[in-house]
Amino acid sequence: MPSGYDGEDFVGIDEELIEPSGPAARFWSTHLDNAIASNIQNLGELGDAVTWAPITNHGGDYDEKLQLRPYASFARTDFLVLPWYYPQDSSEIEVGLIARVADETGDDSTVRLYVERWNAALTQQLAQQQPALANTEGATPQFQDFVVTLPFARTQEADAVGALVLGLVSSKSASAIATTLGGGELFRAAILRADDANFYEDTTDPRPNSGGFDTQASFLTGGGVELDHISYPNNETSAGGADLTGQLMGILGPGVPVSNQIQRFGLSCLQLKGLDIWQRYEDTTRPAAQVYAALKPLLGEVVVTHALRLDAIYTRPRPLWVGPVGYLPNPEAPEWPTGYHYRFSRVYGDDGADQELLSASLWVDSPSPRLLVLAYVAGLHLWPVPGPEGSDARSLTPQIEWEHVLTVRQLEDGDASWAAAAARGTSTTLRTHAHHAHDQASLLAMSEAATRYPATGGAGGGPGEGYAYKEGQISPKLDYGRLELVALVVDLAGYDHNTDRPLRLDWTVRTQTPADEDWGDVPNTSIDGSSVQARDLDTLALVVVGCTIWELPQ
Amino acid sequence: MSKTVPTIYTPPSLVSYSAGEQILYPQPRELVRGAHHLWSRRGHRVPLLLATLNPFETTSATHTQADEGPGNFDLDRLNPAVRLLRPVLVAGVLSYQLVVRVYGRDFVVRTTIYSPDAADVITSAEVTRLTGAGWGWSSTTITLSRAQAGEGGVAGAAPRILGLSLEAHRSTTKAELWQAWAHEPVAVAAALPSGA
Repeated sequence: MPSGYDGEDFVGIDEELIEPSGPAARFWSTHLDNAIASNIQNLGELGDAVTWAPITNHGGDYDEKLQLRPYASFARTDFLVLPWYYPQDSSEIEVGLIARVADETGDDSTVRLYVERWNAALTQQLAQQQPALANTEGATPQFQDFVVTLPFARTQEADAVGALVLGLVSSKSASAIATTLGGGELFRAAILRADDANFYEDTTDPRPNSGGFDTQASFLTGGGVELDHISYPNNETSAGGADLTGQLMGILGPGVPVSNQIQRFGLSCLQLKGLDIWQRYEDTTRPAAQVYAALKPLLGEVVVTHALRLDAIYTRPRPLWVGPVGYLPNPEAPEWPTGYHYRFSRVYGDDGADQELLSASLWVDSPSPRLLVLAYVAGLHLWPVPGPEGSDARSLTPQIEWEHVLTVRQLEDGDASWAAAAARGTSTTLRTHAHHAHDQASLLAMSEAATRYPATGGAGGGPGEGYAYKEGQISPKLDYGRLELVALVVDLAGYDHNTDRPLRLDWTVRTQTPADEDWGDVPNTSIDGSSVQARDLDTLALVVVGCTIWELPQ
Repeated sequence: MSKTVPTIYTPPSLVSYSAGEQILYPQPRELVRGAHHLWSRRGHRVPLLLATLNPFETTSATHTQADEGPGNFDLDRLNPAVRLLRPVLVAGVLSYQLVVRVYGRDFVVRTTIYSPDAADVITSAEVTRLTGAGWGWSSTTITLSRAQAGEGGVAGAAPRILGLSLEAHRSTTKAELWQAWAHEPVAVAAALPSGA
C-alpha cells in the first residue's frame, strides 16, 4: 500500500480485507478507508485521453515532409476548433503533438502555437497558452513531439460544454521570395492582379516546397499591409492582359488599391502527424486530511462521500473520438496535390438522398450508454462562386431545415461488410441551420467556395493545382461567428460492453425541401458565366469544423 | 488473497452510509469493486483504421502499407499519437499495455510503436487471422515497460508521446481489413497493482 494514501497510485484491495469475518462483520478500518479514498482520488485525477488521428501520409517515417499538408498563416488561424465537455473537477488539458516546424525558405523560424479554452459560444476566451514551437528542420527526425499544458484559472465547479482550440501564427521569412510586383491592385475579390502572370502561377512541385504559395504571404513594401494567401477559382479573362482563368493565388480580406510594391515572403509552417488530448482533474471532494488524523472511527456521513465520489467518476462523460479526421479527394477530380487530403467534413444540399457527413470509430465500455455528439458546424450559402466586386447583392441568410441521423453499428464475426453489421442504435433529429451568405472577408467562406468550385481549366487549373490553400483552417476573428454548436445523442442497445470491440458511428444528413420564405431575399437567379442558381440546393453547405463524441454512462 | 474486478459497475448503496449506522458488509464490497471496475477500463483510446466503403486490401506476402483496393487508403495515412496512462501488473511487473483489435480476414497486421523524437522503434507486435477463420475480430496485446512508456525513457516519469503505425500482409491469398482500434486493455484482477 502507498504510505501516504495520496492518490498517486491505484492499489487493488483484497476481498478478505473487505469481508474479514463474514457477512455480518463490521468491516471498516482507517487503513481501508484511506486506501479507498486514495484509489478514488487516483481514479478521479487520472483523467481521460483520446487521440485525434487525422489523415496524413508516410506513417512511421518521421523525417518525410512531402505530401503532408502544412498549416501556415501570418494572421492567426485555427486548425482545430473542438466542442469539448468540461466535467466537474476538470482542471487542465494537456495536448501532445507529433509535428514538424519548418520554413521552406530555409530560415530557422518558429511557429507560435495557441492552445485555448473558450466558452461554447466562442465569444469568450477562458484560458490560453501560446508557446513558440522551435524549428525542427535541424532535428533528427524532423518530426518531434511537443507537449503543451493548458491549466484552467480555477477547477471546474460544474459540468460545462465549451471549446478547445488549437491555432497558430507563422513567422515571416527574413528575405522576400519573389521580385517585387509594381503597381499592383489588391482587388476586393481577393485576386492579386497585375500583368506578371507568374505571380499567380503556383508551383507544381511536390508539396510543401519553397515556391508554394500556400506557405507564403504578401506584404506591402511600405509596410502596413500583410496578406495571407488563399486560392481562388476564377473564370474570368484578365482585364490586365494575362490569362487569369483557373485557380489563382488570392488574398484574404478586403483588398485596397496600392501604389507601392508587393513582395511575397515565406511563412513558417506546422505539419501535424498526430495529436492526443489528455483531460485531467483535480479531486476537490476528497475528505479533509484532518478527519483521518486522529485514527478515530469514521461516521457514515463522512464515509458516504466515497460512494458519491465514485458515482461522480463513473458518470463523468468520457471522450471517445475527435474529428473530423479528413478524407481523400475523389480520384476522378484530382485537383488536390498528391497525398493531400480534405480536412473538414462537408456535404452540400440534396433532398433526394441521405449524405454521409462523417464516420467515427468508437470503443464504448459501459452497458447501454448514451452517446453525445458535439460539433461545430458552419452553414454556408456558396453562391455565387467568388466573382468580381458587386456580383453579390444578397443580405439575408437562408434558414434551411436538415435531418440529422446517427447510426451505430458493430461488426460481428462472420460479417463480410458493414451491410451485415449489427445495429446498435439510431436517432433522428430535425434542425434548422442558418446558411451564412457568401462573404469574401471570411476565410472559411472563401476556402469552402474554392473547395466547392475548384478551377478546372486555365493556369492553375490542372491536376494538383486547384486545391484550397487554407481548407481546414479558420480565422477566429472572421469565422467564429459562423460556427454553430450542434449536440446530438443516440442511445445504444443490444451492445455487449464486455466484447471489448469497437463500433462505428455514422452521421448522415438530408436536406429538407425549403419553402420560398426559407431562402430570405435570395432571388433564384444565376450569375454570369455560371449555371449555378441561387436557390440550387447544392449551394447549401454544411461544414463540420470540429467534432467530439462522448460516452455518457447511464 | 483475491481481488475482484466486476464487469459491470454497481453503484454502492447509500442507505447505510447516510443513516449514521455501522457500515456492514456488503456495502463496502461494492465500493471497492466499483473502484476496481472503473480502474480496469481507464486509459487512452486510439482510433485506427475505419474503412467505410471498401476494405483495405493487399496481396503482398510481406508487410506493406499500400492499399490495392478501390478504397485507396494506404495505412501510412494513419499516424496516431498516444500516451499510456494506466500501469498494470504483467507477470508481477508493473507495465503498460495497449491492445490492438483488427476486423478482417486472411491478414497479418503489424503494429509498431515508435518514439517519434528519435524515430526509434520501441516495440512491435503482429496479429494474425488465418484464412480458414473467415471474417472476424483478432487482437494482440503489446506490453511496454514503465521506462519505455515514460518521458525520456525514465520509469515513473510523465507518459511519453508514442507514435503508432500499421502494416499488413496476406496470410494466404489477400488480406482485407475493415476496422482497427487500440486502447489500454480492460484489466483483469491479476493486473491490479499491488502497491508493493
